[in-house]
Amino acid sequence: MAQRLWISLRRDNLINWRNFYYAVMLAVALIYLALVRWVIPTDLTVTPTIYIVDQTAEGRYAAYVAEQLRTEELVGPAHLVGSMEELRASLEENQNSVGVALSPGTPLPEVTLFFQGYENPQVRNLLAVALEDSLREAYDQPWPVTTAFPQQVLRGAGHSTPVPLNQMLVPFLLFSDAVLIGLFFIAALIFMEKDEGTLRAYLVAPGHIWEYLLSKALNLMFLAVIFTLLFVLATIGLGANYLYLLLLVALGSIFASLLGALVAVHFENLTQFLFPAVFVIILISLPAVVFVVPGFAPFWLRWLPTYPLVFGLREAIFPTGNPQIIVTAALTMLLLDGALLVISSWVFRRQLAQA
Amino acid sequence: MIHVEHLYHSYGRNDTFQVNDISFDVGEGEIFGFLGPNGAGKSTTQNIMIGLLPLQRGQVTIAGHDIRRPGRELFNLIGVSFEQPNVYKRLTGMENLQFFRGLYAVPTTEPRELLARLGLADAANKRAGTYSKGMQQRLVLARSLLNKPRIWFLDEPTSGLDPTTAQSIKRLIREQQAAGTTIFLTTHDMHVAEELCDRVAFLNAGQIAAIDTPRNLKLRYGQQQLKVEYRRNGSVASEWLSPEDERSRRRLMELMELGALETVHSQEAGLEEVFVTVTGRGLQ
Repeated sequence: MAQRLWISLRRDNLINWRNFYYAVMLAVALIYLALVRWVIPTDLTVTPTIYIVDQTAEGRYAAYVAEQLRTEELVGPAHLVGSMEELRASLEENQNSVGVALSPGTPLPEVTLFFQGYENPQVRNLLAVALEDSLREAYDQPWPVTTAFPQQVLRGAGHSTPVPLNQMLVPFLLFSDAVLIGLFFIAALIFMEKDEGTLRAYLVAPGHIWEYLLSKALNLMFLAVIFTLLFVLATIGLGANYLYLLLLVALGSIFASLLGALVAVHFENLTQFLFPAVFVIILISLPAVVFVVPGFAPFWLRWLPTYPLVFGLREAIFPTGNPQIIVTAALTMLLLDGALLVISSWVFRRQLAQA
Repeated sequence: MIHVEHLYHSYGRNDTFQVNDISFDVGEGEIFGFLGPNGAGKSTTQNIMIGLLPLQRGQVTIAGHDIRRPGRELFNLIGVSFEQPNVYKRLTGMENLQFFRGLYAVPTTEPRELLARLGLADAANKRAGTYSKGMQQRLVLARSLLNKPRIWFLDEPTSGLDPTTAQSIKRLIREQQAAGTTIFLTTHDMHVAEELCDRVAFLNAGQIAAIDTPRNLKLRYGQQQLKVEYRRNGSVASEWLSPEDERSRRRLMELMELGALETVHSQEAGLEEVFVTVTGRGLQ
């Protein structure tokens, strides 16, 4: 079994090389590198609506805080609300919004920023740091700002460096290319072999379908890992957690490749495959929208298999000390990869027998 | 070695069977020809026998292995040469053979030896995509012999080959038979079948119309004819006569009595003619 898998790996690697898959991945990595380094700006402007509740006795700080935030151009329109309940209701209603609660403190009121819970840490910290600096300058004394979600205070702000926008897109590009490209590449390989008829030759030799599929998925995983190393080293440097990152990219790439095989086997050629493939790509890419629209987090999004992977990739590239995100993503992907290998092998054998 | 019993196969959900109650046996070391026109059910039957199509109804055993549960052992002892030259076009001839060789768990033949035997030694390190169709066809044949198969399935093995190469392939088939290999040959080329097969089955519309040795089939269904040449008005004339026909027999006697008869040649019916007689249709 190991020998058969090994020679299948060698065969697929040769075919991938001669199909210019390595060259394509290298070219894409260079294009992305150029985009990140020279095209996409480093500045990030988020303009969520802001809801402010002022619970101090004086009740005169709300307008000032709103003005400070507006000056920093970090938020959109500001609305004053009368109570914490009203603040929570407003935040629930408008997902692209941030809440500010001013509560009594000595000598200055305490400020708590309430987020939706799906914004990335860089966005949260950026807003908190900007507000804290602005208030400190204005009053010439510390005015601590705390960040929280409506249900739970997470942690204090002010000790994390905001991540530039161009680097923030690295996990998105990595997800959309290194991970998902396997879905198209494996389909192209399968259709090529269907066209050549070599799949029929393989089926009457003592190789297993699961070895055939796994060999292709592992080869494409290898490509994804090389792409990741080149791209992330050149854009992020040594700050990422490479062990976790490569683990997640590898597992994610196998998932996408096996999913591509599962879809491709139902079609005769690449043209027929493209439309459903784009639909599948869009569906499993939806969790990645949170990279660019932090407030986008409908409930059903959590049920998509790639949801934990997206957050795991971000944590691996910009570690915030939450390895449980990566562990969850890795275990989910491992489970899905195993299930997909079994299912796709079974469906493959069944579909080919009917062809 | 091969046992097929009451085999049926339908591609649709209706009662139309592309293979309709086929039964036959192939003995060890035999070359068995499976003959019929396109659409007769030859490929469907062979695809079921080699595990490419599921067995819907009936029984098929290959060297004692039930095809319903074809284990890896079965694929280690059969070799399949497809009509389509299905090779990895981006790999060289040698790489193609080395890959498939690695899949087998039985003693195999050295790829270089097979390439030389099939006249591909010089092209061993060229990509198969640059081969001519005939060369690709020979590479497929070489691949099917890698595992020294006990049962060799051949689908139109000489199709598209020049006469010299076709002769060389026929020699190879006989060599394999002499080495004890059982050969299942699917073709619509009656000359190849007549030349190579110990027994043939005529397949028509999903059913076996006749099954026997080529000689017996010709004796049973073919009409023997005589070509006679005789002198007439100072020149040589000829006629075709059937010894089974009363009028022909009388004419032959008449020519003999006249003393005009010069030559008599008997002409046997070919398998193609027998096929037409048995099935009422041609082979194309």
